[in-house]
Amino acid sequence: MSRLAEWWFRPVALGRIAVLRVITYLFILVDVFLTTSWVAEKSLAPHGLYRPLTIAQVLPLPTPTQTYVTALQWVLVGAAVVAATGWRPRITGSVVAVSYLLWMLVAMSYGKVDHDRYAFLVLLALLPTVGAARLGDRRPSEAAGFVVQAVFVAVMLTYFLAAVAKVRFGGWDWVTGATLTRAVIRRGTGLVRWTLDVPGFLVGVQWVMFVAEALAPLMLLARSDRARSILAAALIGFHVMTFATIGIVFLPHCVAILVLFPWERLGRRTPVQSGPGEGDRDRAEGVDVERHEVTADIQAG
Amino acid sequence: MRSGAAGADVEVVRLSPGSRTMRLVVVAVALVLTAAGSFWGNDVDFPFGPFRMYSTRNDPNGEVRSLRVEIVDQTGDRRRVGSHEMGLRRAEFEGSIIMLRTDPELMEEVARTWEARHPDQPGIATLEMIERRYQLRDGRETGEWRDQVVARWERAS
Repeated sequence: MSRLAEWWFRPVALGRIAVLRVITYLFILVDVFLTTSWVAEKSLAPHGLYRPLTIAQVLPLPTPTQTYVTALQWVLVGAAVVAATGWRPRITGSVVAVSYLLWMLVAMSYGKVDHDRYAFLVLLALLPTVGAARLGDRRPSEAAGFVVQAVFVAVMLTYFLAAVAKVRFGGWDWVTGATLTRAVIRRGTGLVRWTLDVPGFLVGVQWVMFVAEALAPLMLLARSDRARSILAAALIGFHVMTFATIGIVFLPHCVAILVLFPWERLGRRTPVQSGPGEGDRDRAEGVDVERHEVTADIQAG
Repeated sequence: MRSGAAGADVEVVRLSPGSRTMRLVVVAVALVLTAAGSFWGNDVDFPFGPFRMYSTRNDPNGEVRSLRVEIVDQTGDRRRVGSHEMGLRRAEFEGSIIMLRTDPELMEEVARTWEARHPDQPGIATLEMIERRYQLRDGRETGEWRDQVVARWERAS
């Protein structure tokens, strides 16, 4: 298999997937009830303002009536709670992924589309592709590695394609425009209003943003857990700062960034064991589990 | 597929060649759709649409606009209403403003929706979408602003 293909399957410990599942599925509860609670309000929005997305025009999806939105909300929340326990992750994870996508289609059909969901949707779609994963399981898995690499690429694309969009919609002179000025005027917090009085400051920030976004593919060069953790912390720090200054938080995107941290190192290592029948199920699903004595505890540390 | 070679004592859970291929195919398709969306698509192609947050260029000598909703109720009181009281975010009203301006039935539906959700409040006599426009010069605030009513509906008496 070519080296390019190999990169996608660099093994990552199954324990990381177990932790990510808990974080991701519990986050859905935060998202639905707290940070994106306006989606639920769509059940009471004027129907005349509903404009179906392309995907809703192609597939026969229902118009968001109050019944549909409410029912969808409870299916999503229920599935997320069950999925967070780790029970039957492929099925529960798939239900969560599909219902969250439908939930998002409702959210984005009233004249405003948010752009902080792409990497999170990829994360939701791929978490069910790994079989059972227990906390503390240190066995490296190619399926788990694929999830991390794919979400990492999705995170990178969110930044890189944002630079592409600036050129496409704003032109090559986006950097000299007043986009950030507008943002500060409309939504700036007390922390940032002073920037309106410093000539050229926000233009300078726009230059830095654009260049950094255009160079985003370089992120993929981070290979070790340490390099990736530093990168992830820096990115999250940037989004925290954005929140503190213009009140916009890319929270689902930040949850996706979390795949880069070595969560498998939390807690005690559990002895490697397979439950009865788990090996059979994994084999049936095309996963080849090797049973060797684990003498590499020292190595893995 | 076995990592029984010397030194490789760690048990790696591997994927079959078929599983790998399927994943790579899905990745390729997703990348093509995402690239196509970014170069030729628009918001309507969510989730493959362009990442156009803050991508439009604002003229440093132009206006910054900010929308709000105001009602005059049947007792004659005028007050501002949060957009979320009508089931929408401010940005969604702004994204729908052309539709609202050209279709009075939509404005009426917005008004009736609010009344249905607030049965204890007096009904709406007039519904207005108002844009506050701040004038910029050389990318900075001039302190000048004006309000412009961009959509209006009155209950027929």
